[in-house]
Amino acid sequence: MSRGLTVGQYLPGRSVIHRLDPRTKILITTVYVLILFAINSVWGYAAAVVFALLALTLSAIPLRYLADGIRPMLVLIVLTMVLNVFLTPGAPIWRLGRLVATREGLITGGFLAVRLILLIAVTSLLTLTTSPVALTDGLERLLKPFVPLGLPAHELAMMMTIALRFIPTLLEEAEKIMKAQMARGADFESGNLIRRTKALIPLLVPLFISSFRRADELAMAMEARGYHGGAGRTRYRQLRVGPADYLAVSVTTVFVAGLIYLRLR
Amino acid sequence: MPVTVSRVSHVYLENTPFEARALSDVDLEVADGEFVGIIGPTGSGKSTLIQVIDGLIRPTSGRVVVDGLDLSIKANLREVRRRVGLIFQYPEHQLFEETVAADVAFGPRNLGLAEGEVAERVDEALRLVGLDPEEIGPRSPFALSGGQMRRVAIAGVLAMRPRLLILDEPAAGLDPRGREEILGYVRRLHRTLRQTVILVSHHMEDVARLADRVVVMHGGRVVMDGPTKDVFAAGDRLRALGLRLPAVTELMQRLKERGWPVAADALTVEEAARRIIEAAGRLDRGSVDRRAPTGGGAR
Repeated sequence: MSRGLTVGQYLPGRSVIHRLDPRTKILITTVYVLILFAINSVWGYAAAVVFALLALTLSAIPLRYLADGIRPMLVLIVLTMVLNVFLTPGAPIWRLGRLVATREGLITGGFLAVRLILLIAVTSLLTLTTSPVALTDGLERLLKPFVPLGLPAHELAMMMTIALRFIPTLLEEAEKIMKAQMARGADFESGNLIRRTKALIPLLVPLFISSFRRADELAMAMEARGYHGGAGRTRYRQLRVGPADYLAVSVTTVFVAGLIYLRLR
Repeated sequence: MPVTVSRVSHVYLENTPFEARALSDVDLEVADGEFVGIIGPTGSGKSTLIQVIDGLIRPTSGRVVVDGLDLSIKANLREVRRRVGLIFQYPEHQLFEETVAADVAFGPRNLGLAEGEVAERVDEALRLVGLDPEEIGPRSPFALSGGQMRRVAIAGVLAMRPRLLILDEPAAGLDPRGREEILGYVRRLHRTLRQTVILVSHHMEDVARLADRVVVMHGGRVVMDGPTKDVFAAGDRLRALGLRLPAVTELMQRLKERGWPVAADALTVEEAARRIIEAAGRLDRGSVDRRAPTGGGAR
């Protein structure tokens, strides 16, 4: 059950990308995703692909992990591509009955597929190389300027940390309960939709109960250790910007500047 | 119910950085009517092994045959789970129904039994764990005490009348009285109904008292397998594996080291007491050197 879950999973490592400040990585990923939607030329896409490949190589993450993340989206990617190929008006290159594939369609469809793949690859790269704790720390720090405007940055980050922390725990728990019920002859796999949904009750009730129990215990344990919200809280893990961060930001700036130049030319 | 595990290995999350080998070339035979204790430090593969026997984990390699059914055949899995009763650690975490009776009935209903038969089994199973079906049956399982919840959960498995009962730390987290009660029921099932039992436990005393045979696991392998007395007689070897002896056995072995004329294989307090009284009697009659017991031994 907990196998094959790649999206949002952290893969520990010591690469340059792993060691970048989480804020750098979050910012670069955000800028990259935004710029992806502004690209409109082959050269632009080529640059974006090179940039992604560079980050991937530096991160030393096996390609298989990114492929695993992209696979569930493959249907969507192929579908958008096919729709674009046939529905974009332009110079016909191939006919299938009343359907006409156009040159323009092939180009837009291809670009869209590349854009989606890069989008998933780069965001997965962020979560694969950044531990959930670092990620939320970085996010909290980045959201800090908005606190005076009423944004509960610390609370959001804490909720995210706890949620991320408990995903594997809950999956493990679900697997355990599922096995216990299977040992009592429960069948989660066969029957129609209604039967299968009903079969989930022996799994969901204990899972809810244990989640509430866990929440209770966690709240108690946090208070027992003096937690009282974000105000005046110091940090054990200090975020520090190093030479690698400056370099990464510089490279990204050059990349973005290049793309803007391409776009305006 | 006979179980044959031959050359079974299992690797979790194979081909990922999280890969973990849980079992390596495990061989195990359990005969009909036997009471086998499995001990071993945390992470030695005990839990994986019992789940393999119940067909909940399909091992990476090797063969498992339970009651003549080969578990490599997928169609046999369900049948094996019907015949094997597996009680996980903290089984009360799996309770979900509105009433105790309905929860205990979950297993028998999954077996496809008629309602009359189901009700009969629910009564029987609750009585087996010392609960009154009339009184406890209609109550919510979540309104019971921890020990009672544990017993209801165990009844939920017993109601399926498994021919092999596997228990993983059935007494964990209970007070001494709750522990005695639960283990008493297990012992009775074995003695009176000739139930085949596999008991996984960290609690050496329980294993020593109940099991006819002990299997010691370490690093995913079976490192010792033999009659309970023989296994616990090898104190040094168990200690080297990070395990300890039952307190009474430890006591007897130390007495012997100090020169007491006792046999060191006692596994229960009663047995140990008898041995010590015998030895004391012999000492009083002056049949051995009186200085020995006070002379100070290795420790």
